[in-house]
Amino acid sequence: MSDRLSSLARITRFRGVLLLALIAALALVVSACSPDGADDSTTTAGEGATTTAGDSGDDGDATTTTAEMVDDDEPETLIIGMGFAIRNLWANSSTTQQEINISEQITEKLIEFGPDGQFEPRLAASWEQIDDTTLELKLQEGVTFTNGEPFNAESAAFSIDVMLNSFAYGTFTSAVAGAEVVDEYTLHIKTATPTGLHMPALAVGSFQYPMAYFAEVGEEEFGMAPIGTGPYMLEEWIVGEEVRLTVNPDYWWGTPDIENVTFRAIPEEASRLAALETGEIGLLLDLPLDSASRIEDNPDLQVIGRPGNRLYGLTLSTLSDTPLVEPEVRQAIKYAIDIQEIIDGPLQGRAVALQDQRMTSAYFGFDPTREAIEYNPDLARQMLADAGYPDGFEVTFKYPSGRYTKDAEVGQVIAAQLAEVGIDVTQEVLEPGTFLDQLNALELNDLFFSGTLPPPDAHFVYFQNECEWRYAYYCREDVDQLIVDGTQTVDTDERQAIYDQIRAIFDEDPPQVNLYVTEDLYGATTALSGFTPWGSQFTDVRNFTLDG
Amino acid sequence: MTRFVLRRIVQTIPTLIGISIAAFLLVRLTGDPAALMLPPEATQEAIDAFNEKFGLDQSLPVQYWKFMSAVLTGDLGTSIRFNIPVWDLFVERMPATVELAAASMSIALLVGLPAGIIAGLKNRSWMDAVIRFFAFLGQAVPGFYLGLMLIVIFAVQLRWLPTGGRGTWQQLILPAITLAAYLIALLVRFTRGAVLDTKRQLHITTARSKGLSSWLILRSHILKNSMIPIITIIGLQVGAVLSGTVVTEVVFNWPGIGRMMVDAIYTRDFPVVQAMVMIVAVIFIVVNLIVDIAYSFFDPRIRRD
Repeated sequence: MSDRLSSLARITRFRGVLLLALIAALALVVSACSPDGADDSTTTAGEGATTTAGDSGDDGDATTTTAEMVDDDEPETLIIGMGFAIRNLWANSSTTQQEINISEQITEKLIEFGPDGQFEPRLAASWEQIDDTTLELKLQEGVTFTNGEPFNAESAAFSIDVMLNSFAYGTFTSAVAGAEVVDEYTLHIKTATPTGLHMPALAVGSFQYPMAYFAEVGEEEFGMAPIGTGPYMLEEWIVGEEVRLTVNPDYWWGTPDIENVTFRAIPEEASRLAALETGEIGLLLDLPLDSASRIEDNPDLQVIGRPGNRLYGLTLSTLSDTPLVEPEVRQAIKYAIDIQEIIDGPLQGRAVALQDQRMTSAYFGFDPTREAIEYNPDLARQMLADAGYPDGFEVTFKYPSGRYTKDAEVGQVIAAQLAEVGIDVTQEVLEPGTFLDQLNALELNDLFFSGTLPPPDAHFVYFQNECEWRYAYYCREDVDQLIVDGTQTVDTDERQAIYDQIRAIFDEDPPQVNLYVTEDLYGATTALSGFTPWGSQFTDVRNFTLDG
Repeated sequence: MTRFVLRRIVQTIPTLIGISIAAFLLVRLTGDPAALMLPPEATQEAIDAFNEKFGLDQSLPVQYWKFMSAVLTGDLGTSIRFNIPVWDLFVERMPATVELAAASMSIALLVGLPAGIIAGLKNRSWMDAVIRFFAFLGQAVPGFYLGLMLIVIFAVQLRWLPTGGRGTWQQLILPAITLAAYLIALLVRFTRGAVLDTKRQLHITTARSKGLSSWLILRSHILKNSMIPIITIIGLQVGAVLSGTVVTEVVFNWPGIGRMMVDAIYTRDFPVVQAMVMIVAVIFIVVNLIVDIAYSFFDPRIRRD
């Protein structure tokens, strides 16, 4: 008996020691092979795909703090915190602003939507419509890419081709047929038909690339080691963690104040906030609504906000066999929603009601004479009764949790408001990924709450109601025709009239209840000045300064 | 002996195939990567091109066959999100996870063992009560919450330590403590129990009656005999530590494989999730295999079954 016990004891002891030894061995093996692997995914612009040992650093410089930011001996560094890690640095790879925010510090466009949605010149100094299908651009002269290549009409025409061939931009740039070089600094943008949509196309996607370099490395490698004309150059990219930029000393527009800018991904919201409070980051891009007052109360920090362009609404699907197919029922629902209650409640006052149209004054096609729908539950009940539903009806209402600001809370308020007028909703709260899947699969029936962030032109708002569109929950031929007319009209007054007509149809036969835009909120150290938030959520670092 | 080893290796093959199928199918249940990787306004052509590029337009058996045949040639696939080989991502992040796991194991040993011994020796004293209270707390408080509390206290309020990231030894402290908390609690409980058990054994009474000094009894008799189950427990906690890093790494922005896996799951980066599950499974299987083989070396009875 005692023999067996001691043998068992020996084995047990051995097993434990062995496991510990294995852990240690594994640690050594993996540590030993780390620098090689790290090289592959840490790149430095201009040097191809090799660089310094890139684990997030035993060198200690990963923790630049506010103290260092204001130290005269050290180059100024601003660390910008954000919620997720970008995928690549090729600006035409994605139309999502968060994905291309960093690329846009390196790569510039010809024309852009300014902070409030107006067209502004960037690498194109001026433009003129010279005939129905030709836009003439005069380019900035004397600009070079940071690898020494010149920026001119030839590189611009090449870059327009890159834009037109990028899958991500297909929806926004289809109005443009191509570009022709006229002389060194004159470029013609050609369109297949007369259109007003070539300008938004350029403002969204006309990123400028150094022709020889881009042609040599291709889009994928360019996405790892981009070169541009912009205010900053890529210094180092630790994939999944942070992107370090350093100032372009020869920037044509005027060299920015801040020498180094690092965009750091901190996925956990509370950790992101803590990093701002301790000064580890100087600017936080997506400040959670709930934390705004806490940041405001902190004397070292400031909250910067502006009404954003993300347009929230309640889509009333006409696809499924419910009372919602009847226009009168959808009209009634417009009066059943108390937008102000949503804004004052879950959104803590940091939102603005839409003026009964799915756009803000930042959008081309906006009608300033319209007013937000006034909440009138009695009228809603009356209209439902007139439509033949005096006792209401039952529908399914879907909304995501965790995709938009306070989405689940807003969804609950809407459900309660619908119940007030007798519409009994079965709520389905969806994980953001599932929500997107169902959106694409036309499964978000019967009602759903969502927010979209289209470029500031009415076309990009309304085309999502075209019958053919992948996730159109609405279909009317006359609306489709007007949308097409809108793309083929150059005159701005005529285009405005077309979008007014679409809205008139929507008044009778509404696809959505237009709700509100939320404020985009940023948290920053008070040492940071010169920060103007853009409606597009682009972070324009050029004017930033950090005070001592 | 060789036959036993071979048999054990062959036995792991169905396990690995099972894991690969589970990882492959489960990650696909989360939905369509194109819906997350492309903007909502993307055209149907863009979605088709995306699916074709990453082979997602093919049938599941074909996709699985391609995945497995690539794995057998040592190719774990390429991240959809970053367009970088998964193996490179793994090799880059594994040292961070090993560093965190090793640090928290060390802390757990340095704190948990002495505390457990004291509690065991002085059971029913006030010290025992205090230690047991903290052990209870350590096991009850979720790592996520503990991590955030540590950040609030030591980084935001006291400003002693950074909130997260990796690079300096200061950045290692809070995540290591967070991950160690559960282990410490576990160690305290087991050590205390083992010491108590040993203390009551007849040979300890004998040792006392021989007039040995209490220090000698503690060192040569109680500790030596209590260590056996404790060391086993520590060894078996490798899995707990590895899974604990997932939460800890997210809270402290620690660039290890745990955080990478969470990111990959949220963004439906199928190749990364599949490959990471396979790698972790292989590590576990290899460790277990070696332990079993070593067992049989010491105890031939195991070989017979």
